[in-house]
Amino acid sequence: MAKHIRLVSPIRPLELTPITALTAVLIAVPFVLTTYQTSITFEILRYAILGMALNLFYGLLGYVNFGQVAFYGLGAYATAVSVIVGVPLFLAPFVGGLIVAGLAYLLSLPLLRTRGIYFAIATLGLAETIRLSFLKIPFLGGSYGLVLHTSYQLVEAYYTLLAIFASLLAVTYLILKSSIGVELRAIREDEEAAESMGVNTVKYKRLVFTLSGFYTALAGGVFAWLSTYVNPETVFQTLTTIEMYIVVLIGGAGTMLGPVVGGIIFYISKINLLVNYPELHFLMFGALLTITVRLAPRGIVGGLEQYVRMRRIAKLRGRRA
Amino acid sequence: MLSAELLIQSVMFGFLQGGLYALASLGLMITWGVLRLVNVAHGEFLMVGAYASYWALTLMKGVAITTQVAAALLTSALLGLGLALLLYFSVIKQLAKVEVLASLLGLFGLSLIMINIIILIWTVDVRGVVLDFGYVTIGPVTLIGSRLVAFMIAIVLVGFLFLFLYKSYWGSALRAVMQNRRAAALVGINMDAIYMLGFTIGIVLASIAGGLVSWSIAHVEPFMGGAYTLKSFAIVLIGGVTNPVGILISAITFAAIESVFAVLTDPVYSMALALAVIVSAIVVRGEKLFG
Amino acid sequence: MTRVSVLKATGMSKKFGGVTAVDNVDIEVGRSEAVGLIGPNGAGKTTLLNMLSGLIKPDRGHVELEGKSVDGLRPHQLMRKGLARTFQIPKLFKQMTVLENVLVPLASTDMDGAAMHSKAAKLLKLVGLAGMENMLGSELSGGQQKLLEIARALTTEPKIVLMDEPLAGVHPQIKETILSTISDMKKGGVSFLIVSHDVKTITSISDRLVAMSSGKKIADGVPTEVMLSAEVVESYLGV
Repeated sequence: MAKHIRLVSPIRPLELTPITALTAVLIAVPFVLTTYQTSITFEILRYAILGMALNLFYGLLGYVNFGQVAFYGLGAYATAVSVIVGVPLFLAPFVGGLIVAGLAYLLSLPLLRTRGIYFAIATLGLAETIRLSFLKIPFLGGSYGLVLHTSYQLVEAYYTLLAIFASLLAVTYLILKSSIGVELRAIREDEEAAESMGVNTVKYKRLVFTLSGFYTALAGGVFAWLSTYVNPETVFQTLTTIEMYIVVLIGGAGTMLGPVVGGIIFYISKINLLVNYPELHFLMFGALLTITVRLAPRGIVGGLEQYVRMRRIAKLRGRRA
Repeated sequence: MLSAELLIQSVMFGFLQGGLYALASLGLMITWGVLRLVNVAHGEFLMVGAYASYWALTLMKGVAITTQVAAALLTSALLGLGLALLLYFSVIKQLAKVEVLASLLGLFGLSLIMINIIILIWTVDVRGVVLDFGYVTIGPVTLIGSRLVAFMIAIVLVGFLFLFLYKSYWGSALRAVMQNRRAAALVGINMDAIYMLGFTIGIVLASIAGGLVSWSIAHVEPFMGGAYTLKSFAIVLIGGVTNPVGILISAITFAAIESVFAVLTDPVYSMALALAVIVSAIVVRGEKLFG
Repeated sequence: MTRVSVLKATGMSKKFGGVTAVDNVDIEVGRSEAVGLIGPNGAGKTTLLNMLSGLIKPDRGHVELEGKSVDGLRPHQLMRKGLARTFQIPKLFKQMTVLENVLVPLASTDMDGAAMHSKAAKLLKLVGLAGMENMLGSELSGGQQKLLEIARALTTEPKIVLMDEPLAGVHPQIKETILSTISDMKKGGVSFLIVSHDVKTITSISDRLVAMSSGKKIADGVPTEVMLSAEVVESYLGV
């Protein structure tokens, strides 16, 4: 089944400039900044990737997966197990990612028979079940987790993450510009109408679910590589899912750069918060989430895009009048 | 390994717990059915009610036990009422109009805020006041007095709820809105009033349930809400979102099964059970549950 | 003369709970033919349409498109085979632009970007929405939304279009546009099955009428014949 990607909107060099500039800057980071600063950038990239992966599913398709963190944790564990059985370190996250992608596809078969609220709760329930299972399964380390007997390799892990980040950017950009993007957004708007208009909704939902899971797992895998240690409490936290949503919402769901912007803002706020007001951090997350949903549902980039659109329409109307 | 005695004991134990679950689940049913709001913060309202009641009890040491129970009940109810009204006008009213899924996230945010506020006041230590009602022995089964009393109070309240839902104007209006929103609006029911009423009742029920937890189970901590939210959802999904009797039955059954499971295996597995139930129920019955 | 049948459905039945919505209905539409589907509220017309367009699975019944069975196919597959439909309350993609709305059905075809754009532009011009490409679906008036709904359905050059109340609550001028679009398409070989309350108008463009009442088909034939039939008159005057 050859999926030929046809562009529906033209690729504008102007849009590509910020991304290329950003990537160039990011490539230079380990050479120019200190180890500590590089690790901060690593974390920002990690959140950006998690946000972008979630964005594919929530932003483009419009489905709320409350168990997104499960992909992350499974990716981390799959990577850890790969390393333990002898897979080379730099390949391990991809092996882990592919394993989780396969799992995600299988899970999508029953899960995507539900929609909306039901899907959200089902995924939440499933993720929690997975977390509890990992706490109990003895050969996966139980609550102690698994240890990778490797060293701290920030630079290698950083560049791997950067490569993942760049590829995800490219994928998102192409989707948004192509016929696939049109079909996905149609599903988000009105699934029944989209189906009636020729969109194979089932195929696309499964595809995006799997893709989103794959990238989330990759991030988990690289995280495992860097921390050389995985355990259920760290990699299966529901709070991580919330963080992913905050990243997407602040930046702008459904936009390409939204989660990147969101990742930067979120992570910087998070460290500041943890340093200065550690006892308020739930509250701040919660407030951020509720306020963003209530007052700025389009996020920063989304709001900007809407503003630009409005201006363009007004100009067109003015010209005609 | 499981003697008949132990089995009956744990079933009865669960049975009593079911009363509390029923109260909480019926509250969820109302917010869901009336406002179409999937209240993922439901357990947190229960938690807040538990703390309110706990606080009242710490002030009333040495007072007659019935007064203590009454005070606890009143405090959790009042807090629930105040919180519901405050939140309704500031956040919920708008959230209910927002795209449903975005409102899920907004409510999640709310739950985080509530948890954090409680932590600031009471820290993460586990709290609770055990009220001593002695023990009641019926045949081979020994029941803890406080749990029995809590159960009875819960059942009485559920009874009042049923009376309200089936015998009063506002209750019937509530049910009408739960079953068919558009028709209800067309018939002239004051939708704004119903939404406010529905939300308030739902939250108050949760918070009273929490209050009962604080002195019967007496295990209160800031993160207790999540488990109750999940279990309430499981119970509502099995019982049927527009079926209060179904929910009552499924609450008690669920609690009994959970109790037996907890005795046979691990408490962690009983949680996994609840989740497995929800996930299967949703996947199998899907949207036909709601219409 | 053997009429070439584009859509042929036999024995269509559907029950919801205890209520029989559609009871053993046969319906056939030939090439370049417009069939009007009339009947009082609750007669089962929309349910029948939903079954024919794949949104609901029939309890019983068999559907053929150009002689080939299409039982069990999902709506998007039916669209690929040439069956399009519009909805009573337009199900537009509100947050997408007018142009994007029309691009959606094209996106699932093999056309390249430029071809899609020109096709979309052509169709928008046909229904009189040219120049509004960049407006959001939500910004259109009710009548314009109906036009867009139709444009969208016509985009993939369907062989038959199922329409649910295309003229309901529509400005007379837009009604004219819709009617003339239908008649133009008919000349080009497209068939129509149109559900409508407005019996008079529907009769003016229909070659045949099918009348339903309480889930059953009660009349099928030339408009004048059907309109004079006792059962049809009774179904409208009765309960």
